[in-house]
Amino acid sequence: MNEKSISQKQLFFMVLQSQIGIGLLALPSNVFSHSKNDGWMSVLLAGICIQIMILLMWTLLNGFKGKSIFEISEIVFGKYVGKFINILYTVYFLLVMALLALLFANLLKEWILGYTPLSILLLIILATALYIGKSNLRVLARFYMLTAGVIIISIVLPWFAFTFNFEWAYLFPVGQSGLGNITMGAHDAIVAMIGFEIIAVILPFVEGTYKQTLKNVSLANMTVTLMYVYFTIACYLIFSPAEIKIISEPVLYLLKAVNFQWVERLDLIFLSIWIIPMTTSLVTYFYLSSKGAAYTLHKGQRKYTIWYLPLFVFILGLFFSSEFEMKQFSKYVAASSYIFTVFMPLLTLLVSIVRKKYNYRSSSV
Amino acid sequence: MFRRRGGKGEGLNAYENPQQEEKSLFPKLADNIFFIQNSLVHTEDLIIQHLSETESLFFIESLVDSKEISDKVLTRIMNRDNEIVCDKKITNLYEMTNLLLDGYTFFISESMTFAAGFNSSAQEKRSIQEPLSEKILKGSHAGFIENLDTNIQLVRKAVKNPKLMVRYMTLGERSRTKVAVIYIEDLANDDIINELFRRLSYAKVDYIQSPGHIQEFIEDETYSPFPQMLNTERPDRVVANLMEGRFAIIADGSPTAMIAPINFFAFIQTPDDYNNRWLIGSFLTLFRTMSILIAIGLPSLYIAVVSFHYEIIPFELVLALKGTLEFVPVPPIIEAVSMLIILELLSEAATRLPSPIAQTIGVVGGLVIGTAVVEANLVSNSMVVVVALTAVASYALPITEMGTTIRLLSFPLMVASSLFGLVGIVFGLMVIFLHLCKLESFGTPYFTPLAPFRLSENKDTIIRLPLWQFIKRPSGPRPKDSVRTGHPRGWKRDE
Amino acid sequence: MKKGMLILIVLNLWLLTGCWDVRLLKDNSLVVGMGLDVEDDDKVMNTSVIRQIKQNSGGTGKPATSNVIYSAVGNTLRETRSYIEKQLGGKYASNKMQVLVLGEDLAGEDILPIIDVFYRDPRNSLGAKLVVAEGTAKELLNMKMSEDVFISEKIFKALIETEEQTLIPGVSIQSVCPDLFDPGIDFALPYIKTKNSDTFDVAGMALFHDTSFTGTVLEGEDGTVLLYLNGEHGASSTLSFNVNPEEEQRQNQFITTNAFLKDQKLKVKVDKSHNVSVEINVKLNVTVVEYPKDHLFDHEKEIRLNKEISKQLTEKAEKVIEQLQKANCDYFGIGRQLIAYHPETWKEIDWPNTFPSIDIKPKIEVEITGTGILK
Repeated sequence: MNEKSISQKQLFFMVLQSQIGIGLLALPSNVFSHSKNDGWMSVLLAGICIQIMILLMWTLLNGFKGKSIFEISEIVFGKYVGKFINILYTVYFLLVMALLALLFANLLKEWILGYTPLSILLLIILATALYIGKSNLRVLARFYMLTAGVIIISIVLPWFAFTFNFEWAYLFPVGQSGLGNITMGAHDAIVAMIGFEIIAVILPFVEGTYKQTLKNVSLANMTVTLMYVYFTIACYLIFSPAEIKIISEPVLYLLKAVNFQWVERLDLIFLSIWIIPMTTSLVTYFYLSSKGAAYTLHKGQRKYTIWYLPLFVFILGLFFSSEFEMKQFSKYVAASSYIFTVFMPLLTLLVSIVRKKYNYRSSSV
Repeated sequence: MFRRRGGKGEGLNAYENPQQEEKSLFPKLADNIFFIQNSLVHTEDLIIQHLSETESLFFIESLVDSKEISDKVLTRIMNRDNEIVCDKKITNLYEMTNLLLDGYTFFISESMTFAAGFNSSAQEKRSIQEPLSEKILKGSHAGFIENLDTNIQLVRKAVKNPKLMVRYMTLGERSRTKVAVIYIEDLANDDIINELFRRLSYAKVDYIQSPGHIQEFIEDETYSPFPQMLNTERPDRVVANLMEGRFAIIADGSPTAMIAPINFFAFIQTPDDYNNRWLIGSFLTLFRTMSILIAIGLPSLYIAVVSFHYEIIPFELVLALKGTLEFVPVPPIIEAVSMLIILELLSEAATRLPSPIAQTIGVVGGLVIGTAVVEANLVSNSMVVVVALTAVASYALPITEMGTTIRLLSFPLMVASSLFGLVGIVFGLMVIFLHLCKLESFGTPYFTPLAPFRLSENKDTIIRLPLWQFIKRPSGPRPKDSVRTGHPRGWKRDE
Repeated sequence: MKKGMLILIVLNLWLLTGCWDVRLLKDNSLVVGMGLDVEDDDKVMNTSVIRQIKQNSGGTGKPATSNVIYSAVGNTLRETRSYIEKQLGGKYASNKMQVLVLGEDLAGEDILPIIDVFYRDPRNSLGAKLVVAEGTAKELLNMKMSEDVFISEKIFKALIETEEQTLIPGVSIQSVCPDLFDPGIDFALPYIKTKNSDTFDVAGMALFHDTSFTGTVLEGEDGTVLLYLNGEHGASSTLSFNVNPEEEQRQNQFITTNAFLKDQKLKVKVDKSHNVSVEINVKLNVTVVEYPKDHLFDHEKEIRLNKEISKQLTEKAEKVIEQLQKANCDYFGIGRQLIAYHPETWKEIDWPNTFPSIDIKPKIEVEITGTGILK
């Protein structure tokens, strides 16, 4: 591994940029379908769930300092089972990457480039992701941190939407949908907020102690959660409940009608800016899957994986044509994300404790 | 990327003394004369003056100052007692040949075991002027000239620091160009200096005219559009960079110094920023940053707007743009590219011509082509405005190299925007930014302090804060001593 | 970078095949205003005002523009659009539209299905002003004046001006969208009257119930009062009151003021048997702009005027609310308050049937804060 190390600050931004992405745009209306105008509570709950997942993953990694998840599974399960599990991880990362790329292309098609063939959009997305993703971790960290600046702009933009009437009453009555529905809604939000898996691979390359990394990763997650809550509430204040149900990307719709003296169609501008966080989360999964494939198949060399993985995603993308198929695909990926963010780390952790591979001493330091 | 690694150089010290052979002085004068004539291919400007049977004076007529010979050399030879007072005592004939080429005069006598060398080189040089391409309003107006010694002298005069290190070397197998590497010993990072000399040791070429030649041999990424070494003709710029722990390369015969390791933002700073008060400096720097954005993005943004998203701009502007565009037969991308090509042609033509004719070009280009093209409906009015703004913005950058790079990069962005509108621009910009993040100059990140982001070092990137806030040196070149100042405004605290 | 260049060069090849989404500004015919009417057989009639550039205006000269008006009938809006495109040389581009005029008859039906396309297509302009025209929209847009002036701009500017004077609410296609979908709130659109088929004026507010026009129009100051009751305000408003009916000369009877909204509070009270009562308190600051009769040296006179004006305004407000309830237009969004804060009541009652009979008590307090540069 010739990866160079990254700083704690950069870790924060890497997690932040990986978590933030395409999920936000549709989040308010997705969450709404279950938890009505308590959606923001679902988002908050989802943030807490993610925090628990982060803790789980971190506990696992902490027992094997300096090892990535791929190495850990080989240590814990032995060479062959470990390799199999690593392949599963890689496939999962790859599928998420494919999903993100597809959703991304579809979004662009729906909002900006209506007549451009999906394949072309996929191609430019994947080509850019390839160019970014093939650089090493240090460069990625720099890039993620540099481009995080645009997130601030995107937070400021919705303020302008408030210039016209918003209605506090839309948020009330609080808690009407009940805990069950809020939890159901949290599931939708979790899907939009995954991306923290990146720590499973990059944590060994971070400077400083593991404790600090936990602090920064949690901070990143908190920032993401608060930001998502902010956007959700913003949408709920402006759209009436009946309206939000039928709007597929409320965050963009919010900005569509804002008129300025000099700029109109803020949604276009927002979407153009949002391309960056969307690309970075795509790149994250590209990086993870290429790392996984490289680790299991090419002795850690990413030279080949960076070429054939995007190609695979591209070919996969050509099979999906309707929105319905995409939704199904998205559902399966969402379900599998629980396996790889909760079940697998938990299993690895338990097995490692049972087989006495877990290093308590290092975790207490 | 195709990274070609040449064969290993013959040891690290090979570059310091390219002259390997050794031939000591013959006892007989005739042999010496014969040898030197041979090694200088019997060139006709080699003058061998026979002072007596056993004594001769050697010099190359075109390189020496005859006054020096008559005043200094001959008097010293005539007035010698036992010991001759000379600049150099040489026993190696090859070395002597080299020194002859440097303008030395040699006196060989059969009674001496060495050749006495006198420095008598003719100093033909231009006076010190302000460099044409890097003018400033306030501050030193000195500029480098083609003479290496004068250039080093200019630097030395500005920093009277015993730790200022000058290392000479001769590059170019056939041109034998004298090159100096200057750095401050207790600031410049050893690793970077070692890396520089390692890279220079591979630079075995026959001819080096200017540092620009060397640049392409030792630069990290030659395929990048961004210059990774700062070329300047200003001594004050060199000194300022030396003080941040960087090194400079100056070659004989060229007024350009090359500074590395450099970052992107050095290309948008001028000494003016620091010679003015900080508010004015900030104002100017801010505008220069803006000019980068305009130069790189305005044409593509315009294309995106008029061919994809005219909803973005307000109604009145849409009508105005539509009015100018209505009868233009070509799509905006062709319009923009052709206009920019015309512009580049004009500026290229004007640079090469003597200034009276250049003015004519300006008039013909600006007025005649500009108005005629619009009146003939070949290019829209608004596009002329956009292109002109772009050009002005790119020329506003203090280092022309960077301005050209930025203008060059606007072309792929325009293509991207004509294909995908704003989306294309964003993807294009992402690629450019990633490239900037990836780029390194001598192992130090090129886009510092933005990537990797260091807040405390952003004091002179987009704005310039008061100088007393620059307590630390930028960490980019990894200086040995990071503290720059104490408390220059301590008097206020101690009141 | 080299790879990046390579990718761009490859993408260049597609340039030769043409790009899919390019909509060159010069090829688009900008629709600046659109009028919708319902035809006899329930089809939609679309009248579009299209801005065109005259041929002789290329080059450095200032572009001369002209309005061309097209009409077409179809089942849906998009259908009419393709009919218009057949007559038009160029693409029909409604994304910089400024006003959307609904004919009175069309507004009387459910307007949501008709303007659905504006919400669905991302390229459409949601910032366009939505108005109701007396008679048909076609008549309004086709009026004689439209040959000389840009009719849609004129309407747009008139709307902006009246909004500033707090005569009509600031409504765009987007801003009515939440109200269209929300059962707990209704809205009102500006109402434009044509005069002698040659001029028009913005008469007042057309009250809507759910998604259709009720037929009631609040004219002049009534609209202002309603807006103040709902806490909306433009820059200011001009209100005149007859405070001295005993004076002989008519001008002496009146006081004219500029009013500014200071505070508005709406309280919804629900008792156990789900009876809804509403209190609206509005505070206005006014400055006297015309009061030829008297000079306000002493405070007593000011207080008398304050009281008198408050009384008159409150009476007016009561009348306005009566009209609202008759039209069954829940402009204040009382239903929304019920959904949010009294969900049980909301479930219990049938709101459209209850609203006309609930008790709404308005109270407007006025304070004179300035008298101009004269006392």
